[in-house]
Amino acid sequence: MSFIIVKDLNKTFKVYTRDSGLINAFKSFIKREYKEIKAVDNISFNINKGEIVAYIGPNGAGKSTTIKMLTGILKPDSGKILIDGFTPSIDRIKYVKNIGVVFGQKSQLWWDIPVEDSFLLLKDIYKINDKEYQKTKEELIELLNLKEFLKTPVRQLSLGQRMRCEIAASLLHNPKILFLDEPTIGLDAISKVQVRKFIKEINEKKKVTIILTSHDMTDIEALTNRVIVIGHGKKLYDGKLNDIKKKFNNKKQVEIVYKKMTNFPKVKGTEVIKKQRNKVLLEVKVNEKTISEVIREYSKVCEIEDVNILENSIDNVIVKLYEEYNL
Amino acid sequence: MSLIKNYLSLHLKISLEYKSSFILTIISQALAMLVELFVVISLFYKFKLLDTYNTYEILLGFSTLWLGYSLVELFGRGFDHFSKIIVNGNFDLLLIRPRSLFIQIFGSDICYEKTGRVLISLIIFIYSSIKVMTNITILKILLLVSMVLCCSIIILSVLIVGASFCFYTIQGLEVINIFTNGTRQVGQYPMGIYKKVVRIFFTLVIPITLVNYYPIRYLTGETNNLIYLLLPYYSIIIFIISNIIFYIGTKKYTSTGS
Repeated sequence: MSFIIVKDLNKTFKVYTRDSGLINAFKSFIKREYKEIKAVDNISFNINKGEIVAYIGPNGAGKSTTIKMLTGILKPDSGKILIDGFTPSIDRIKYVKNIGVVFGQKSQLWWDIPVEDSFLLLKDIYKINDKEYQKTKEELIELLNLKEFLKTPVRQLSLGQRMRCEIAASLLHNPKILFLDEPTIGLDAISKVQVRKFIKEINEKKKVTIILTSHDMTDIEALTNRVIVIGHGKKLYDGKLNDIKKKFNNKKQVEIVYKKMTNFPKVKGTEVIKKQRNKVLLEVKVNEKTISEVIREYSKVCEIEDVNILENSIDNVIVKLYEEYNL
Repeated sequence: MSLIKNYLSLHLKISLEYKSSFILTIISQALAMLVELFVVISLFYKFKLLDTYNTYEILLGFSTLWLGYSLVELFGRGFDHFSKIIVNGNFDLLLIRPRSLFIQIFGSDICYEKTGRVLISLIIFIYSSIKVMTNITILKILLLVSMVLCCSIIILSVLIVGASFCFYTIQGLEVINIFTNGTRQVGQYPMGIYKKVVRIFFTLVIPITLVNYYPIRYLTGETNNLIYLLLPYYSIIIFIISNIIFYIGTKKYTSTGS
């Protein structure tokens, strides 16, 4: 049986709507019109122990709502969630002992006091015994490189430092599952890489099951191969990231820098995008022509100095995916 | 227990981070309270209430209320500012911790700046209670303690009911302030000056008279009926009801933002 079972999950929000303008404001004051929005619409999936799963979708797709239901913050309208034998919204206190949550937009650290004091509070909240606390803390300090700023008040930390502390805070009680809601939001390149590396490490070392949402596709590419894509509350795709890539990434751009061209070749399955002196940019349909074939054809007519293969970035792949589902 | 201790020390640390602001606020809070005391006493003289009521009884009546109230201001600030927790979305963070919501809301804010008010009202409370009591017995001392604690419980209950509304309106209701501040304003004067309806309201719904007006009758020796010793504990029923209302509210919680 899977570690996390989600079946036919539904959640509807009532959003009240009104047109702009003062008169309409009065109108809606007297009689409000509500619109029902299906934030999560019949979603089902299973996740095994130790997996990393990325949960992606455009803004407002229902990612956060799902995460909130999985963490027991919101109660589903209908459907079943069974995680490690618990139903989150019913066995809240017993269930949340096993999970760690990082909300990229909300801090669980206390703003005015050193990080370590926040950790001590969490130690009491989770009733972690001294020995275990020391051990986990040391481990996390080393993994996340927190030593220098453990005694600094949170308000004086940089965003990257703070995010590392947030992640550490969510792992002090050795949870079995870690939920990361946009953990790299607003971070610079170095911090992003550090956070990713760390997420990967705890998954491997501690066998923590990780569910993350992110808009940063490079995050997801670096961390996992399984993605669940949702849009308008519906599950659109559940499977390997590579498969999406293959499906949408059938074109590659190749830039060829050459010397002495006799006559310009017409190669089937390619399209010239830009032609400059000594340089040509081609789009190659990978399923019709392999790149080596294209290069061979070109080398017949000219002396190739340099070849650059520009891979369609994962962001573009996802844009295409969203486009296909009309998101 | 150790969690409560940790919350208490955590907020003390936060207060001490801003040293001068902390000290000045304590002093100004205490001074504001003294001014208020002065106003109330002046009113008593003006309206000659002192002819019918013993000065110290009045003083004890409202210092009980003030002490109970300022204790809630000190320790119950999380409930007072609960709408903030909801609006910020920080309530989500309370729900993912394996502890009761009550203790976590208590721990979300403790306002040590109110210690000035607690001290001033404590001094008046002790002074006036000594003057009121003809003889001091253990039962009377127990009654005094229960008066203050139960008074805090009543005010806390009103705040909890107010907090429950946040689940429906997101922004807290200003109406609740009528009951919290109103209770303090109304309750500090002897109940005898009010109409019957008001008195019944403040006996059964917000049972302030049961923690000052009636128990003081026992303290003065006007009555020896032991029932009077138990009256303050009626507030526990109100407290339980308020918690039930809050619990129903949490089921309505829809969270904000992403």
